[in-house]
Order: sequence, then C-alpha cells, then structure tokens
Amino acid sequence: MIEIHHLSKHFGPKVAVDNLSLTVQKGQVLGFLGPNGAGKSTTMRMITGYLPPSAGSITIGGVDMLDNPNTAKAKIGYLPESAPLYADMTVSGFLSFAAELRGLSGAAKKAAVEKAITTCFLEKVRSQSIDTLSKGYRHRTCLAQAIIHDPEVLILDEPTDGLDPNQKDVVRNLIKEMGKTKAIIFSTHILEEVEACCTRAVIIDQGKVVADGTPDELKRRALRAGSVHVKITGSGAAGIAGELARLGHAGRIEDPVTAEDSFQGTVYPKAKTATGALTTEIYDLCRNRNLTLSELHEEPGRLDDMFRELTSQNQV
Amino acid sequence: MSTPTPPGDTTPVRAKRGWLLTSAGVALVAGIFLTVNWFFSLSSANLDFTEAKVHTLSAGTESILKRIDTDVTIKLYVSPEDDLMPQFRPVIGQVEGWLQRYHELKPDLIKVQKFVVERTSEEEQEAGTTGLQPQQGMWFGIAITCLEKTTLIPWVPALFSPFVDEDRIEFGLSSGLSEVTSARKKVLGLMSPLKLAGDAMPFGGGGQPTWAIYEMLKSQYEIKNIELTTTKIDPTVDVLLLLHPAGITDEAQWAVDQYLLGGGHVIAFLDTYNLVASQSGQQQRGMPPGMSPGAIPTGSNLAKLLTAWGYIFESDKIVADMGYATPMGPNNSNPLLLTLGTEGIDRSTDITKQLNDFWFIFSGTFTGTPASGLTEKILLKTSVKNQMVETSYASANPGSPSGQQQMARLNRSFRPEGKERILAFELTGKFKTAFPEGKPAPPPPAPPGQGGGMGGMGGLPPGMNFGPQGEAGEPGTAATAPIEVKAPEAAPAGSPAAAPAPAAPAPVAPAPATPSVVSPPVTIEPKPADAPAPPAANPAPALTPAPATPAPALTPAPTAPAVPAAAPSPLLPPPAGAAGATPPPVAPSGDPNAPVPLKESTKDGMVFLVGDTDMLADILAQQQILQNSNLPFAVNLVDQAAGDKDLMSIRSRGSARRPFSTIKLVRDEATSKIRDQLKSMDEEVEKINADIQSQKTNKDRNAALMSGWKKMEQKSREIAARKYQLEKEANKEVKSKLNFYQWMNIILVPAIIAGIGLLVLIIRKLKTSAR
Amino acid sequence: MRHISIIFKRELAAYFNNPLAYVLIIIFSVLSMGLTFVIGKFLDLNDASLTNFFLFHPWIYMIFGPAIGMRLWSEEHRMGTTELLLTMPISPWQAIVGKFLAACVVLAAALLSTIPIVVTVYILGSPDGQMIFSGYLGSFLVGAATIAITCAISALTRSQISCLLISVCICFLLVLAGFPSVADFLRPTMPWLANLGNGISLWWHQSEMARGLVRLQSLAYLTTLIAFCLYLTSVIIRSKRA
Repeated sequence: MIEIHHLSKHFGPKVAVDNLSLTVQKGQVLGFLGPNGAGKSTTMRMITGYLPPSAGSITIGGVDMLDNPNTAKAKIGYLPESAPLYADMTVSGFLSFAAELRGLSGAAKKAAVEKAITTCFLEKVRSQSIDTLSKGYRHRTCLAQAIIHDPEVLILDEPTDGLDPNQKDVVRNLIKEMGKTKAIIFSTHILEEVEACCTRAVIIDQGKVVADGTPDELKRRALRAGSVHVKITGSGAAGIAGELARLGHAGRIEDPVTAEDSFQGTVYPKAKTATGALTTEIYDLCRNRNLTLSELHEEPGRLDDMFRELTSQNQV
Repeated sequence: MSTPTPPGDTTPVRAKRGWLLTSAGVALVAGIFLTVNWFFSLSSANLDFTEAKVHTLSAGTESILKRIDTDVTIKLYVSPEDDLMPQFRPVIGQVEGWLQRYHELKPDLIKVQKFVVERTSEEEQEAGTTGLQPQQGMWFGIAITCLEKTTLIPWVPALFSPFVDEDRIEFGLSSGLSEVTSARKKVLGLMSPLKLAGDAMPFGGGGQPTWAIYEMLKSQYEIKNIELTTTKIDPTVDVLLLLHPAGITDEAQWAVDQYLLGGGHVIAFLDTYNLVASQSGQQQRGMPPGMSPGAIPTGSNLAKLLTAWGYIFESDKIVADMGYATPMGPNNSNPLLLTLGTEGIDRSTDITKQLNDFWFIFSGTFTGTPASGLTEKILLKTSVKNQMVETSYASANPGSPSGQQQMARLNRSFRPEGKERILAFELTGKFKTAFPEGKPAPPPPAPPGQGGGMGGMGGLPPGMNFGPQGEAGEPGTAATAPIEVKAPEAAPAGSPAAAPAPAAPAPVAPAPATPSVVSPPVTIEPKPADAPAPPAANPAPALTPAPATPAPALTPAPTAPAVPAAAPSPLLPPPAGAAGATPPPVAPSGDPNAPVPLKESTKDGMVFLVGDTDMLADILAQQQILQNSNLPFAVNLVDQAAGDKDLMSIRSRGSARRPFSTIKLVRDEATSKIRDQLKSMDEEVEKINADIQSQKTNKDRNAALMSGWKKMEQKSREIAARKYQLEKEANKEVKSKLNFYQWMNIILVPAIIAGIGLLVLIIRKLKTSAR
Repeated sequence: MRHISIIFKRELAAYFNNPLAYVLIIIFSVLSMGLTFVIGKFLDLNDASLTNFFLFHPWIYMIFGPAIGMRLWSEEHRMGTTELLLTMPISPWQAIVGKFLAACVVLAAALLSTIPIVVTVYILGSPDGQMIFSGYLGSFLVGAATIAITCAISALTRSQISCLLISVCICFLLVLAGFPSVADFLRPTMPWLANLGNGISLWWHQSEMARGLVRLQSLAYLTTLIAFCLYLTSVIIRSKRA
C-alpha cells in the first residue's frame, strides 16, 4: 500500500532524511519511533505530499505521489503533529468541509460526518466552535477529519500526544481497530504504545532507519534481551558466581551483588537464543549445590533499551 | 496507474514537474508579465465610459479624416518641459495622445512629428519658419501642412479650459486638418459695431484684445467686415453674422434682406442691453451708459426684418428668469443672468444637442409667429418662471446699495408670466422681402452741431430717449413708451399726398418727424400691408442718396397701396406701367446695372436669431466663457449656416460640470417662501413713499417728508432686521438639508452594517459556545 | 472548480464570523464618504460627479487591502492548517484562488456600502452613469490588486502584523508612483520614468478610470498584476516547504 524508496530530504546542507526505504501493507500498523528531530515528521510530510522530497519516490496504492499528487493524496488520511484546525468553525462544520474537499457530498457526506463524529466520540461537541474545545477533543476532531473519507492509508503524527491516559486508550483502540483493514503509519515517543497497537515498528535516527521489525523482534534485539536475572540464596551462594560463569550457555555476568548468603546478578547467555537452555542449566546448578533459586527472571528485552542503544550514541 | 519509478533514479523526472515554480520559472513568468504590460502601454486603445464620449475620436473627426487623401504632416513644436510653465506640462501628454489617435486612423497619410525646441537651436529656427511664435518664451504650437498649405495652431493651451477638456484639442486639430485639406475657406461677413478684432488705442496704452469668438471664427473662415451702413452684401459671402448691429441703417437692413432672399444665410445676435457697448466709448461722468461720446448704443434690433418674418424683439425689456437664475452666492441668485437648464435647450438638433451650459446676460426675447412659408425652430428658451422687466435693472450695480435695492425690488415684484420665451431660434423657408417698396432711403447726414462732438454711429444725439425710437435701441427707462415704431399716423392712403410735401424742405427739423435722423420711422405693419401692393410689378422705390430729402417724406410710402398712382416720391422715375402693368425692371436712376431687388426668395433661406450678444463677450469672465457652451453654440450656428456639419458635431460635447440642480430647487423653494413676506413689507415702505410723493405742493411735501421720514427710517430698520432673519432661516433650511445628505451618507450604511455584524456574531457565538 | 468554491465558502464564512470584516467595511465606508464630503467638499463643488470620491480610494486601499488580505495565508501558517490544506487532494492554486475570491467579496461588500453617495448624487443632479460605473470598476480592480499583493506577502510570514506592514509599504509605493506631484517632479528630467511611474501606479489607473477613460493598458496591468501576485503566492508557498 505504502511504498517508500530511497527517500531523502535536505534542508540546505542539513540532511533530514537519508535514503529511507520501507513498505507498509494493508492491515499493517507501523509505529515510527525515534528521538526528536530524527526525521519522523519530515518523512510523514513527504509521504502525505506536503513536502517535496529531495530524492526518492513515494507510492501510495500504486500511485506515485509526485506524478499524481491529487490521486495519491485522496487515498491518505493525515493527522499532522500539531492537530491543526480552523478555530472559527464548528466541529461538524469543519468535518463537513473536510468531507467536501475529499469529494463527498449530499447524503454520503452527511453519513460520513456522522460516522466520524461517532467513531471519535465527538457527539457532545458537534455544534461547538472549535476554539472552545479542550485539547483532547481537538485531537479527536483532527483525527476525525483524517478518517472521514475512510482512506486506505492513515498517517498519524503523534496521535496521542497530550492526551490523558483514558483518552490515549481510546485512540489506541481506534488505531488498532482500523489497522485491521488499513495501512497505518503512526509516530510516537511512547514505547508502550508501540507494543499496544503496532504490528511493526521502525526506529529512525538522524534520518536513517536503524531498526525495523515487529515489536517482539525489536525487543529481542535489545542487548539485555535474553539475559537471565538470578538471585540465589543459601550457604555457599556467595561463591556461585564462578560456577555460573562456567555454565555451558553462559556468557558474562553483570551486576553481581554478593552478600553472605546470597548472590544476585544477570547472566547473559552466549547466544540470545540460548536463554531457555541457560535457564535450565542454572536451575540444575542450584539444585545440585542445594541452593535456593529465589528469583529467576528471563529478560525478554525492552524497547526503550533497544531505543536507547540504537540512538543514544548519536545524542549530543 | 503509474509504475513505481526505479529506485534511485528519480531526479530528472522531478525536475520536470514543478519547473514552473522554480526560480527559472519565476524569472520567465516575471519576464512575460513585464513584456505584456510594456506592450499594452504602447497602445492607446481604450474604452470610453462617458456619456459624452469625451475620450473617443468623434464621428466628425473620423469623417474629416476619411476625406483626407493626400499626405498631411502635423508638426508639434514644444519647448522642453523645463521651460514651460507647470500648468502646461501635462497638456503635452494629452496632445500627444490625441495626435497618436489621429495618426492611427490614417497611418499612411497622416504623419506626426514632435520637435523639442531648445533655445537657439536648429529646431527653433525651423519652428520660426512655419510661422509659429513663442509665447513669453515658450513654444507650444502645431503646424499642419498639406501640399502647399499650412494651418497653424499657434498656442495649444489656448484650446484648453482650466479643466482641460479634451474635446477642444480635438476640435482644434480637426478644424486645422479640415482647413488645410480643403480647397477654399468660406467667407463670413461680419457686421458689428463691437471691436471684435481687438483695438489698439491710438495713443498707445492697453488696447482691447481680440475676442475669443473672433479667433475661433477666424481660424475657420475668411472674415469680411461689412459696415452697418452698407447697401449691398456680396452674394459670395457664405454666412452673414450680425453681432449687436446697433446703428444698422435701413439700407443695410435692406441689404441683408436682399442677401437672404438671394439664398444667403444670416445669423443675428441682438441685444437689448449690451454690457460691452455700455462700457464703450470715452466714459464721461454722469453720463448714462451708452451715452458717452463714441459709445455704442446698448440696444440693437432688426425691427424691419423681424416684423416681416413675424416677430418682435422688445428693445427696452430684458428677461428676468427665476428658473434659470445664476447663483451668485450662498443665498443669492441673479435672474438677469441666466444659466440655462437642460429643458431650455433643444436636443433635437446638432447645433445644441450636445451643449449644456449656456449663459445669457441681460438678454432680450423674441415673440411672434412665423410668417407664412417659414418654419420656426426654437433652439434656446427661458423657463416658465420668467418676466420681462425694464432695462434699467441691468444698469443697476449689484455692488452698490441702490443696486441691491433694485435687485431686491425686482425679486419682490417678480410675477412669472407662466410661458416660456424664445432666446434663440431658427427660421427656415421661403422668405419674403421686408421691403416691398424697395431700397429705403439712406439716412440723412448727421446735422452739424448737434450732440457736441459725437462721433460714432449715425450721430445719435445724446439724451435722446423720447418719442418713437429709431433702429438704434436706446436704454429705456421705466417711463419709456412702448417700442412700436409708428409712422406719423397719417393714414396710409394719405401718405402719398403727404409725401411730396415734406420732400422739399430742408433736412433739418422736419417738424412732424422725429428728430431721429438715423432712419425714418417706419410703420411696422405685417403682411397685410404688402398684400395690396401689386406683386412683382412694382419696383420697390429706390432712393438715390444724393438728392435725398429726409426720409420721413418718402418712406411711409410703402404702405401706400397707391403706389402705382402718382409716384410716392417725385424723384422716382414714373413707373413705366400703372397698376397692373408689368413695367420692365427699372433701375433707380443713376445705376442701370444694379440688380433687381428681390421680393421673394426662390431658394430656402436660413436665419438664426439670438436675443443676447454679451454671451459671446470675453470681457465677462473669460475663463467661464471658455468653459461653457456659449462660444461653441455660436460657432455651431456659423458652421451650420456655412454648411460644415462635421465640425459642429465635434465641438463641445458637453461640459465637465453637471451642477446640482436639486440643490438649486431647494434654495428656490426656500427663497420663494419668504418672498411674499418681504413683498408686503416693502409695500409698506412704498406706501409711505407714495404718501410723500402725492403731496401736491412743495411745502406739504416737505412737511410730509419730515414726518414721514422718521416713520420710514424706522420701518426700514424693522424690515431690514426682519429680512435678515427670514433669510437666515431660509439659509438654515438649505444648510440643514445639505447637512442631512452629508451625514446620512457617512453614517447610515456603517450603522446598518454594524447592526448586521453584531447580530450575526452574537447569534453565532450563542450557537457554538461550549456546553 | 468545485474545490475552489469549497475553499471560497469556508474563507468567506471565516471572514464574516469575525468582527474584523465588519469593522473594516465600516471603516472603508466612513472613510471614503467622510473624505469625500469633508475634505473633498463634495456639496460645495456643485458638480454631480463621483470622480473626486473615487480618487480617494487608492489611498484607502493602501491600508484596507492589506488589512483584508493579511490573514489569507499568515493565519493558515500560524494555525498550521497549511499542512492540512496542502495534503488534501487539491491543487495549491485552487486554494489560492478560492481564498483570494473570498477576500474580493469582502472588498465588494465594502464598495457596496458606498451606495448612499450614488443615490445622493442622482438625487442632487443628473450625473454621468457610465463614468460612475467605470469608477467602480477601476476601484474594484485596484482594491483587488492590493489584496493580491498582500496575499503573496502573507504567504511569506506567519505574523499578520509583518504582513500588514510590508504590504502597506508596497501598496503605498505603487499608489505614489503615479501621483501627479511625483510625475510632475520626474517629468522634466526623466520623462520615461514618469510614464513608467504612471504605468505601475494604482493611483494613475484609478484616476483615469474615474473620469471614464478605461484604457486597455489599465485593464491589462491590473489583471496581470493580480495574476502575477497569485502566481508568486504559489511559488512562495511551495518554496517555504522545499
């Protein structure tokens, strides 16, 4: 549905987006992760046709954005980062306007507006002037205009920004629901959001893609992923470190904390896939030594670790 | 559905899309923008959105230009802008615009060249050779050359009024072109005692400048001055123009009559009180106007001719017109100076169709009906609110208190006659002679010693204002007898008998006759007098001047039906045939080759008559004269009479000014309301005055005077105060009406909009506020 | 075409749901009438023509045009709705034209509000109706030109005030370029410059049309100027994103 090839954007000497490529199919919800200034919004602006790229191509549903911008834009619903609205219009008036621009008219237009109002829970404020709305309602109104024409593609730039937890929940559910039939790209800082509604995540840093995979896959790439945290108690526990290190699947041990009768630490397996085997070995070891395994915890990996690892070296 | 472009190779494609919005594109579009506008700035094509079409070449010019079939060169000589006075500088652009339009109409034949004449340059010398002259060191003239002929417009700004009406430059150029490309100039015969061609004082000192009307006519026509005493008008004269022909002799009138009958075209501007004439001559203190030595009489008339045509021009009355009174100040308008409204102007003829502003100053009017065979066409007329008043009002000086009183009296005693009067009209048709008896006797030579040092016109003795009037109108006073010029009422039949008798005595003081020596009193009796006269057979008695006895003896004769009977004058050769016979045309003695006097015209003749001549005078507000339609009207008449229709249609397409007629009505209304009150107050004063006057003896009169004096004084003061109040109220009314308009305009719509706006905004706010 | 009308309607509603439009129309009305009657001494001139009235307009437009046009794109930039608008399936020029037309409607409303003076002049005398028509035509075109110029400037900045100031300066120069005293000043030394000044001057074109002379040059200049400014607007909008 969305195909981006070698997309680049320069603002003078500054490179904002560097040779970025990715594809999103129908039914996929792609999460855009990255530090501020990484180029997420710029990329999304190029995808939606607002910014012309310096190089590369964008194809929406088979239509080239640069050759046929209007046709391509018709397939997209876009929620910009600032959730911009025309403050002097009413909610329903604004949605009606958006629907008209999208080519809807008459009864179809009315129906679409109604549907959008319902979907985004805007009934209470439908006749209110937009400048009287709270932030949550504003966001939802802008989201409503993005979906009003039931587009195949949704590009959402930080859709839950500034919302309270309840509101965040509402929006995430919406995205998840719509993601079943559309191709959605949304950007966020909130990693739990990625896990909550994305089928795939992409981490962008300095205009380049640095990671691309399902949330689980990404998590697993975190350094700490696959490591086993143990707390062993009992006499002789203090000296167990060495034996742990000698386990067949063990790699290094980090953060050892030795006390009289206990030992804490994180054991990294030699290979990330060997976590299960390592756990078994540790368990066996403790049983053999007659020690108690007070805590045993496999680290599946955390996205924010992953995030930091991938992006932190480039932070100023 | 487009194929996805191969990765990494999209730059050339993108360069094609949106190229228009790149910097190269901007440069290109900007270039187009500048080029297109530069191109359009070269053309003077335009749409003319004026009703009078003042920006377009008129049809007249186009037809003149169409007739041009040889090369014509128009050369504009103008000093550098620096050297010109500031007010002339924008004129250059306008003139060039017009010349460009001319050139575009006939690009192959009409060439336009502009020469900037620096001082002491070649161009200056060349300019001089064309005949142009600089004015006060500035050059701004046009020389139009065609083949051998050159016409000059010596000073272009003279064609412009202060408001720079473009149609005058068009007229100047077109008439110049017409002149230079036409074979021969038409001849305009001018009969007038006024010094139209200007007058340099014999002893140096300032002279009178040339009249603007004279200049305008001179450029188009060859002007031939004809004496007011002439006895013959050359038939080669294309148009005969009489301007205030005071002092015209009977013979001259006869000459005009014959000229007209021969197919000539006549234009006569008469006047009952001609301002120019009133200021002519060497002014002597205490002399009533027109009475100074060398002065031109202030009244003029063509009584004999008019009678024959069916009209009367009252020489001692001027028209006061409240409907067309000229505003002189905030609450003050002068009904003796007329500014014609559009209802008074005939819109069906080219002569006046496009003209709008007319001024008439102390004008007379014509009354009557056209004689049989003639058609009348009224060109200009008064409003219905008019009244003929004494000419003495004209000499009232509005600046002086007595003058103001007079004007006040005029205003108060004004009684509109309810019927419009003719100010200017046209007569066409087959004219019949006004002199069925033939050529009238010449005026007797001026008696010596009379009138002390009078030069001038026909020796009118000073102070002569009683008795029947001669052809020279005299300033009437209130007490003047009506103007009918009656012959000594010897019955027509009796005159032949009477005729020989006075024939003998010396010219001096023929007793029954009037002392007027200018011309004999003539019976003005219309056609019936002619009827009895045998047609055609009767050579009109022609009088040879030499042995002439004073006219009184001879002239009454025409009315005598007994013409064929014993010759009315012993001097006439016996008519070859008596009644009924057709004598061969007999020339008056002494001139066997003189043409036979005509009695009737075979072709249609054309006469234009206008009741005021001051309307053409420069000395009265020169600037205004050039702005309004008076002069164009006059020149139109000449053009019409001379047959040039094209130029007429070019002239003055209507002035730029369209006055606020409604405000004038408002003022009039206010003024008329108080008029009655003022009138009754003045009547009281009059009564007191009359009381005094009615006292029989001097003694009584004095006594009444004394007692009445105080009363009158008091009354006058009261009246003045009351009048002031009333006028103030009237003024206030007018002002409040104007104020109303002013503030309505400024406040009304904004208030409405504010109301609407508030309503809309409040409603919307209510509907869309947060719940 | 539909898109233009959609944008046009929205912009028009935006104008009239805000007090600014009403205030501006009222100011235009009061100013133009006030200047004509008080400074122009309309009633004293005793001339039933509106030429003087129209000659005041360019000076009013110098500020009024920018006042109307300044919100056209500055507001969009400020609110961020440019992003919304330009990701809709419409061509940018459609948005530009639609907005411009809405501003022209406000201009037309302002001109309509001067109807009383037309009524007055017909009551007081018999004016030349064609000249009045050409005067209004010229006035509308000049006003539209000032709006178009402002439209282009508004695409440059998010601040309405900056837009206003810059546009007023430009319009002022264009009005002044053909004002008689300037033309007279230039003419002696550089007549071609004086003519050029006239050609670009909003005042000169207005004054010619106010006296009934609608030159093709005037029509061409004003319409191409408007088109060029709208074109510039689209260039600026595009380049700001590039």
